[in-house]
Amino acid sequence: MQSFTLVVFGAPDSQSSSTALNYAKAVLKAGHHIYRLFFYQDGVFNACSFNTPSQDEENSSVNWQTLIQEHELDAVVCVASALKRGIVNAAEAERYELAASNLRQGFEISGLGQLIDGVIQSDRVVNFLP
Amino acid sequence: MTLHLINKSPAKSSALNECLSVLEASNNSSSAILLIEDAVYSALKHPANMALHEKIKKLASPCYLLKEDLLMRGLHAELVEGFTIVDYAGFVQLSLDFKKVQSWS
Amino acid sequence: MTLKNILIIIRQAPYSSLLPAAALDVLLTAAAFEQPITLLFMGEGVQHLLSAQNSTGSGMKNISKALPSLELYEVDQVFMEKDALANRKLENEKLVLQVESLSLNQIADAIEKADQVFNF
Repeated sequence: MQSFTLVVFGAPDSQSSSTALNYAKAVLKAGHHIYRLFFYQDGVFNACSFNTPSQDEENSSVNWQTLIQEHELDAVVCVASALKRGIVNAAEAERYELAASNLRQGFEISGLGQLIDGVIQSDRVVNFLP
Repeated sequence: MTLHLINKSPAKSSALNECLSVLEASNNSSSAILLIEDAVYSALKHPANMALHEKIKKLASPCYLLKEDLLMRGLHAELVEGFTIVDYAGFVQLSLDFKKVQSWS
Repeated sequence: MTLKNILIIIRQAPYSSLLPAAALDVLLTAAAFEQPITLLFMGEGVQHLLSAQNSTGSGMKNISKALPSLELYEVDQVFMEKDALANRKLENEKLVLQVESLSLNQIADAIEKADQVFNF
């Protein structure tokens, strides 16, 4: 069994995000381990709980969340990318006195150090570029 | 021992071209290229792709295409020879067959 | 701690993409983790080295300003693709820092030697 860290750069409606999701499913199906999902730059929009695409569209955020919760994956959202784009958990919302928090359940906010930790700890790191 | 992952059409990005230039200059041929997303358009029999295909043909490294991205775009029939088609399971296996995966955009 | 040789390649021109800034952030974080790092400017990426850049008033971040201080983070392996400036008729431009050039063959070697490549 090999371990993987996946870096997701693509927003929910990009193919890049969907490629990463399909790849994550294939990694798990092959019996390997996902050490970490790291959502970076526009990829952090996948962690927004306010995403409400129209009915005939897939909700990529929900698809990620389902995978994360079913397999209890470590899903880290880059804090600098998230704050810049208005994705906040309750603690950040309070600290910056924002009207609401919107981090989807299953995701956690942390620093870029978690990406470097992924490089150090996992057998493979795959970047899904925008 | 690197799997080069490319996701952009050659009309939009120099990624494949630059990757091929590095591989051509390399002393070692144990790398491979996997074209995903819009990069699968690189395999079309289009005059604009001829120079790329010549480079790929001369290269010792194999060049793969992601099946799901070909099918999504309806491209199955019109590809040049010399590419190998893999699915997502193959993509994961290729990632492990090589020492690392390097993405180009 | 396990050390991983990390190669960071900046290939996108300044201001056209968010990726070069991300590359620099990854680089500084990896440096904080004391990982061995190599930085390479390739293709359009060499334009980050031009010192005449002035993004004042544009709202865009000029990452070239951070490049001369990389040494403070003990990042001294900084290279650019040989001929990339000359191919753009930029070989006589003033640069924000002096970097050694690597041929495509040496770039291929650097990629092979790295444990992880971030090609932004």
